[in-house]
Amino acid sequence: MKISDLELMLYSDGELDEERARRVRVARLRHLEVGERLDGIERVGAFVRFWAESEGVDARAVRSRALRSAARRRAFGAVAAALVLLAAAAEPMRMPRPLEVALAKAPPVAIESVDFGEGVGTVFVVEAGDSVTPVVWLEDDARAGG
Amino acid sequence: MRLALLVPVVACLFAAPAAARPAHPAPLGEPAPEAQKHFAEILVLHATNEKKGIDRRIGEMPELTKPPFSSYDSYTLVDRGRLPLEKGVPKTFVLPNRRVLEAKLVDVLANGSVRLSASINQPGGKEFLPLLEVKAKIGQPFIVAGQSYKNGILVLVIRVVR
Repeated sequence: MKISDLELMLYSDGELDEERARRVRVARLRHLEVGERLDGIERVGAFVRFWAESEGVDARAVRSRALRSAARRRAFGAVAAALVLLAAAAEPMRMPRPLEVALAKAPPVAIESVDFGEGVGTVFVVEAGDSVTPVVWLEDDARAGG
Repeated sequence: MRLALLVPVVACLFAAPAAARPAHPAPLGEPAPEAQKHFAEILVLHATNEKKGIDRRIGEMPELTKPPFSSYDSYTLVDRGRLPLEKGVPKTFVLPNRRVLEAKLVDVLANGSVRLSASINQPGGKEFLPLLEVKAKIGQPFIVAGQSYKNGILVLVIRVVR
């Protein structure tokens, strides 16, 4: 029967239930290697407890802070996931669909290029009802005939 | 061996008519867009402030009631022309102010549009409008306006028709 390091650490800290603690005790009796690992874990535990006492570290407070921090991270993760889902659901309503862009109506008449030469002119459209008519307006001066 | 010869022969029999056909044949009785005859229809209007209103011969043209055209209260049809267009061949039309409008069909596009180039020149003088290139659907007008003429201006309404 294989007993994990975690199981041994929990046993050393007295955090196993009765049945799991019994299995560790049986394994320790039957397998010398399990007893050696458990001795090592208890030595490390004793060293950590000694260091915590000498430094004034409250292991219980550290543990509760760590638990609260983990809870906050989980809550933040849930909120972030909800926002991502909301954005993903809202996005198709805001963005124009590619098909609509492709089918956008082209103007019936488009002035593609104008060269006014030495004169002055402008290009604009006149909207009247449904029609949009492009206009090239030339500024004429004394050059005009008639 | 006979099967190996038969397969290419049958493939050629099927492929040859398909290769000879155009990709998008024109419907029966309707010539291909390139083959259809196009015309540049030109209305020459004289805009003045003589309180005459809009000449009935001009027809429905709501643009004339919108700025800047609405700054003139009278529009008279002084001339009209219909130039048969050939791709790449310039055609000319003499305006009332003796300038010459030149129009050329540049291209016939697949979507019922054409590309037209135009210019206005003063014989023996400088070019007034050296170049204007327009992409227009058949029947849709565009306007070239502003040339001074007899206390007013000329307004050229140009559209390509078939």
